Amino acid sequence: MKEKIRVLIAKVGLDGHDRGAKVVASALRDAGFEVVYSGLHQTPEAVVRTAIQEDVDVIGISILSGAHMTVFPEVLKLMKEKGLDNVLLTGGGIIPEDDAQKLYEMGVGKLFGPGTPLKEIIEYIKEEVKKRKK
Amino acid sequence: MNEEIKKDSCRQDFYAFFESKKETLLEDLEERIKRLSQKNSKFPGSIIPPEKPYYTPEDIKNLDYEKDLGKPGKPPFTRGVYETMYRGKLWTMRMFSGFGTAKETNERFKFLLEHGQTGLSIAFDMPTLMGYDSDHPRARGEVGKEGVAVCTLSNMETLFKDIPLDKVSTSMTINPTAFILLAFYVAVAEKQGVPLYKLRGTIQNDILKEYIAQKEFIFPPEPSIKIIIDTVEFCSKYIPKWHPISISGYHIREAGATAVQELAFTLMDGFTYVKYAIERGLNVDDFAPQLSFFFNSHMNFFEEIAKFRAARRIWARWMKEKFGAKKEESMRLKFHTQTAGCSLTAQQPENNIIRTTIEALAAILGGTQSLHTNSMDEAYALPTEKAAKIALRTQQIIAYETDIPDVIDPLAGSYFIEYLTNKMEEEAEKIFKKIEEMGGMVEAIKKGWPQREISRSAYEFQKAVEEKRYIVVGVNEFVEDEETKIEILKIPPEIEEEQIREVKEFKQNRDNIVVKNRLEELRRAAERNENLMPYTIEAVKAHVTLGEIIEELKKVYGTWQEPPNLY
Amino acid sequence: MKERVEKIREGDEREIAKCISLIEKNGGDSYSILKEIFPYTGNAIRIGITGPPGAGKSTIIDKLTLLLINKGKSVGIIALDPVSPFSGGALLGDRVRMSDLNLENKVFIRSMALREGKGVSRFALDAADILDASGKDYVIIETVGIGQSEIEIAYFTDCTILVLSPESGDGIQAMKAGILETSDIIVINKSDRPGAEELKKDIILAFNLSGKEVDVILTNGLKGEGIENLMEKIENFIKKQKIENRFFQRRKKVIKERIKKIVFSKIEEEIEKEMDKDFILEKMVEDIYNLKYSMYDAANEIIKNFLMGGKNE
Repeated sequence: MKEKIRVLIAKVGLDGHDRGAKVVASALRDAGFEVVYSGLHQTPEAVVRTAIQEDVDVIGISILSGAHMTVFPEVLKLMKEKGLDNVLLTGGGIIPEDDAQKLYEMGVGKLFGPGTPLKEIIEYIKEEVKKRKK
Repeated sequence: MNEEIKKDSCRQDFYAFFESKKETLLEDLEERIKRLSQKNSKFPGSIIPPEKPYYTPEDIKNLDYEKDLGKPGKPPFTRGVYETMYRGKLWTMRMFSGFGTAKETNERFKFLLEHGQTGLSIAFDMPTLMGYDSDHPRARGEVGKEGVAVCTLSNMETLFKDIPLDKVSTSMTINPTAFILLAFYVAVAEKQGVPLYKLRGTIQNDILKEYIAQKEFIFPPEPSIKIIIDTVEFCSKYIPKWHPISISGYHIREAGATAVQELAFTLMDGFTYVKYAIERGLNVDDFAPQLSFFFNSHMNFFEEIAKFRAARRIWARWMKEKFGAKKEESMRLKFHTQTAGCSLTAQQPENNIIRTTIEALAAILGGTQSLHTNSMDEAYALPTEKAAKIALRTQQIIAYETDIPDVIDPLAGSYFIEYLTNKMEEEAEKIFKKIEEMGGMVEAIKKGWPQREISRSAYEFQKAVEEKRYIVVGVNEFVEDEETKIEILKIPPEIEEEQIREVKEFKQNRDNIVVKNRLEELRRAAERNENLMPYTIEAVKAHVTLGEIIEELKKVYGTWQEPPNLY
Repeated sequence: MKERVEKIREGDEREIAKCISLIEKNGGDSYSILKEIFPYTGNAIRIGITGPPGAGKSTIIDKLTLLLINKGKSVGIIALDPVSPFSGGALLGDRVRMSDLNLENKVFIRSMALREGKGVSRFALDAADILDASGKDYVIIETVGIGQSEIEIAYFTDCTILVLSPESGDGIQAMKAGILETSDIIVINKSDRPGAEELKKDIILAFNLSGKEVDVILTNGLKGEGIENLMEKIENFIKKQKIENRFFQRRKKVIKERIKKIVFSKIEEEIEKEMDKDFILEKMVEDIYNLKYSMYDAANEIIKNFLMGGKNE
């Protein structure tokens, strides 16, 4: 019986700094998750489509370019349109606290900034996925 | 009587106890000494042997002063590239900036120039860096966010309004589109009436590190290098005071590389550019003096100082022995340093001021030519004026209030520093050999080797932090429940709208037939493998935009995809 | 259930994706859905793409798929990557090379993580059934490139393509036994590298010596060169197979192999469950260690208990 948690890690937009995304992807793999890595320069549409085809439980977007207030709402909108209601949208990068709060109110999950222990991310994902599976 | 007996029996107990435990106590003592003299927390990836508590003449017994160190300003330049170093002229205090519109950046420039900054440094937004005009659909949400949007000649003119180009030195942090930004700068200079030979500055223009670390690339390696050599050729002929490449290790380090990897990959990139320029037919002494470097300065203080010294020595040796340089100027490794962005923490941000200070010291003791110090809030967002000012003051305090700039290479002769400098050089040479066995840097990049090495170092660093083998104050130790709100800089969304409008207007109010012609000519020049600089300059003068130039060249060169399995 | 099948046949991506996940979970539901969609399979041409890591399989699939959809075809792609033996997790990165296809309507890509050394997983083949039933003209399975799957893939496809590159090592000698023989088309990618032509000659020579026929072509995946040729070779191969009646015989062989695989796979699962029960295995290990009896005795005991237990669904 395979009940693996599937996570999509994506970098959206033109920003190419992928150190964090790759470290998180590796850590999630080491925690037993199945991680689909999308690579650089993805568009919100491509991310959501990939999430559908791969039937992921979580979408994790890495943004360091300041474009998070455009990208996350866009992805959220597409997710709603396509009926991805049970999928957790989370991510990280350089996102000021009050923006993260606004996004949380819109329906985005917790966002993880610099210095977050990987363990915290892993635990958060496990909990959230468990909640949503009920 | 009881007292005596009591005291005596206590003493007896004590001796009895001691005798029984003597063996174990003595053993424990040795273990304790060994354990305490061991370094607890090791900087991940450091080449400093953790079990060595101190250094002696034995560790540098083969050091030959004349051959390995020499005088400052003379090969092998280990002690510094200039004879007088900071005694003659302080390092340039060059603070990276740029955001929002060209107009606001222009105002921030004037602010910094008034407050004592001595050189301008421009950060561009993501679309400009990646070759998209602000009104392109892929630019949505990213215009003006990480730097200034410059996709038209008018943007550049606004950027430098009232700033005479013959009076400033400008460093532009731009890579695949660097040749276009240089063309903009040249066009603005012409309008200002400033002759090209008076222009001073740098374009980063280092595509090899993009493939390895920062991932801002457009075309595949060969055409990208060709364009870079075009700029090298152009600058060596017409803009002799310009640095056409800033061969960078900063980003390589930020992506997770160790100090040695930063050193080795950067120098190897440099050697690669030199090789290609020589293959183009250029004489090494005609262009090498204009090459410059850009390094990171992280928290591993002594290792960093050794890194800078080793870099100078290695470059001088290779330029002379492998590339046949005759002029001393060609062997001088001049570099700019930026303190490590990846060492900044979002937690307890004021601590970053101290981190930046330590890193600045390492760079200065390492003999940097110019320095950018990070602002404390940069783990959150682009720096506020207040934070940027403190960062600048950090440099000024070191420069004016201490005796550090008064003696050149003060740490030379230290058993530890010389040992470490030697070790850095040895380890770097091992990596050079490996890359050469792979067929050179371009081949290695296509195979994904440096990228994988860096990914691995990055993951190991993170694991070290998670497992508390490396302590980061405020992050995995000495953590606080924080409420400190630092005011951060936000980019209002109107900025993007304004810029998009301006670009659209610009495209309408020009002779679009001439634009089409210039693009044609540029493309044909690319097909004929000619130097693209003159064609690019003509194009931007005719109001062709940055995005249009890149689109046209993509037709000739295609785009680059990363190799697989980089993790 | 009927609705699900309908949706799959219409190409509803969410439904297809959910069903593939269901199959991976290997519960009771998965058996019923497979049974329901089975009548609708058989239309897609199944292509296996194998070869060592880094040879360029994903890039070639990317370019080949673009050509196919330009000709109006639809394509399903199953990209396999190994599972980490330590954590059981996996990093599935094949999509990175196929990002052109993310927004193409007629393409469905699914990444699957599978234990290497166990050959082609039956789940991958089941997923291919779903894509087949959803109306795709082609289903491409990209194997991990290590372990047994490279050779096995030939047993489960209509056409197997081996992708090599001149850098993949020491040439023919280093290749696994059987891999050349079981491939229908051999592609030498990165044709601009030194050694490409030599490798092609070596392979043709090896085949000449054995008397078999083979198609060896050169491609440059990144530049998109040679892909038209590859597509033609595939089409010609299938045509020829059909004319010479080998196509359908091969498909029958596939059915046989799949039955065997399902049987073995299910038995293995069940026996593993048995062995995990009540620390039986652990107890036996202790006894064997103390030389009470031999490993064969233990194994026979387990098998006997299993067979007598009469388990099966």
